Amino acid sequence: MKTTSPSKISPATSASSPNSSRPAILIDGAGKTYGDVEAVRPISLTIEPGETVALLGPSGSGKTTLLSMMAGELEPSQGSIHLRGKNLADLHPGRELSREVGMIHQQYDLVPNLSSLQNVLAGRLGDWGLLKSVISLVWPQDRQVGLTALEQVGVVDRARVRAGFLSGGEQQRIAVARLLVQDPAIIIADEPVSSLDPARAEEVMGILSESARQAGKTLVASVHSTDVARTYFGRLIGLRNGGREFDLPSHLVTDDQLDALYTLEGLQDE
Amino acid sequence: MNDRAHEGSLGGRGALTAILLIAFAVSLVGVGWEDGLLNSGGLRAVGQIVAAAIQPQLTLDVLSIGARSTWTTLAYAWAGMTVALVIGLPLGIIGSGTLVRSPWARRWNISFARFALAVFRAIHELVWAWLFVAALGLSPMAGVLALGLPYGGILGRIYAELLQDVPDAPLRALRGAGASEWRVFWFGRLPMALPDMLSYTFYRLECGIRSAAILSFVGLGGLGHNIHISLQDIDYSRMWTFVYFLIALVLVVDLWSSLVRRRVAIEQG
Ligand SMILES: Nc1ncnc2c1ncn2[C@@H]1O[C@H](COP(=O)(O)OP(=O)(O)O)[C@@H](O)[C@H]1O
Ligand SMILES: [Mg+2]
Repeated sequence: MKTTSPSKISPATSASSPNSSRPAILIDGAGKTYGDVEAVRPISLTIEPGETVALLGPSGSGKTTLLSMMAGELEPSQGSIHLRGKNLADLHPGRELSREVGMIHQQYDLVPNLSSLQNVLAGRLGDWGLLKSVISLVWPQDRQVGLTALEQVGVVDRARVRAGFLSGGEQQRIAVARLLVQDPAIIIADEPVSSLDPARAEEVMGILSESARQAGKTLVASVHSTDVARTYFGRLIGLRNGGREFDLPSHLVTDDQLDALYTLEGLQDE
Repeated sequence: MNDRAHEGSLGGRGALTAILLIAFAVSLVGVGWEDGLLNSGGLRAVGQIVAAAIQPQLTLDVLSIGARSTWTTLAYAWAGMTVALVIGLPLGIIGSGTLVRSPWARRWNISFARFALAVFRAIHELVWAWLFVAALGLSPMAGVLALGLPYGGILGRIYAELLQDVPDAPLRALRGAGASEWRVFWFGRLPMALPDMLSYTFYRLECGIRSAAILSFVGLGGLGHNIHISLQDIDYSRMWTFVYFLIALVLVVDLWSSLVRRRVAIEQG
């Protein structure tokens, strides 16, 4: 079930591969408050390596906040988060962190005037020396790694096109390919397809979850559509007002639970 | 910080306009019009100059002087721009404060580079020329440095701003992929700022050509020098030949810059 990415085997990944007893993500009472707003109430949960987890919940329920904390982009107000046994707070931002976790954001964040290939290869910047990085601007290094990733997400024919000229769906595929090249153990995605039309969204989500599954990566994503969540994810976590409503294997989540998550505004007491 | 300008705009802007108008009126009175800005022969001279415009002197002799002095002026401008780039690029990059992460180091980088750039920029190229001619004599080096220093100050300041004003999301994504600030700079900031930086550099090259012509009035050779001599000889036809060379030079640079910019805009790096 667990295979390493064909593109690259990082020491960190291979070192901990045999050790599957350690959870990929261990959240211990982590929460986030802004002033007196509880964006995420203290929550504890465990995500095993290779799991695909979808966060569901209405707007403002805390999905982005929780994901950003898992990705090390946001510090929890309390509690702790461990990624594969390492305390997130101790991981050096940069290379060390980028081995553990990578995040795809809702908005497109490619460098618009570099080619798709170069954007994808930017996933390697944590490994490249400065000289190699600069040379790569004119003469892309490790081309094959980039092309393989582009092929995986189905846009290898766009390799030479500048990212700014691509459609939204293509740009999100490039962002997925960049993450594949970065090759973190854990992939976090915050509504990566919410700005795409439904057909395109389904395609990209399929590519993302399939790539994660193939490479044996842990995937945690916030998803708009409950259908997409049930199709592509093994486990669903429902969030509301910063708190967890349910946390179940996706085939056990009922329509009633989903309806309640989105529609019972104000009727639910805690 | 724009809010205040918006709120108080009507009263504030009205007052400012009034002050500027009054200052303009005062300055009109201040200029000594009677001292022969348009002297008796002035109108006749204007007529002669306009008439000469359609019959520039096109003898082989004048044309070859024109070609050679065009080359001289271009060489001054080009060498001056090279000096300007050597000064402006590194100071602009440091002055953007984007290579360091700690706020403290950033503030020092910005203050140091901006101060140096301001010093270069504060002094006009003619004043620099005067200083360098005093120090080095009438040498090409004096002209090149006189042009390069203030232009370096201007380029550096604009570069710093262009590098700062780049969208943040792509940079954050690169940091997320493990890139250090230097790699973020090379792979994100510079490529995003480059089209505008190139465009501005070309614009400055055009300005540099005009300035080089002016500097040659000071006695450094080139098109300006020949225009100056023709005017002293009251040979307006010959003057126009050189003016047309100058216009053609600026047009060619403009054409070249739009070609380069189109390449940068469409081709992937
Ligand atoms: N930087 C912030 N400052 C203040 N409040 C915030 C900030 N980020 C998020 N919030 C609040 O936290 C709550 C959860 O936000 P978020 O995690 O973005 O929800 P979601 O992604 O599910 O829409 C919201 O009430 C939001 O207003
Ligand atoms: Mg969100």
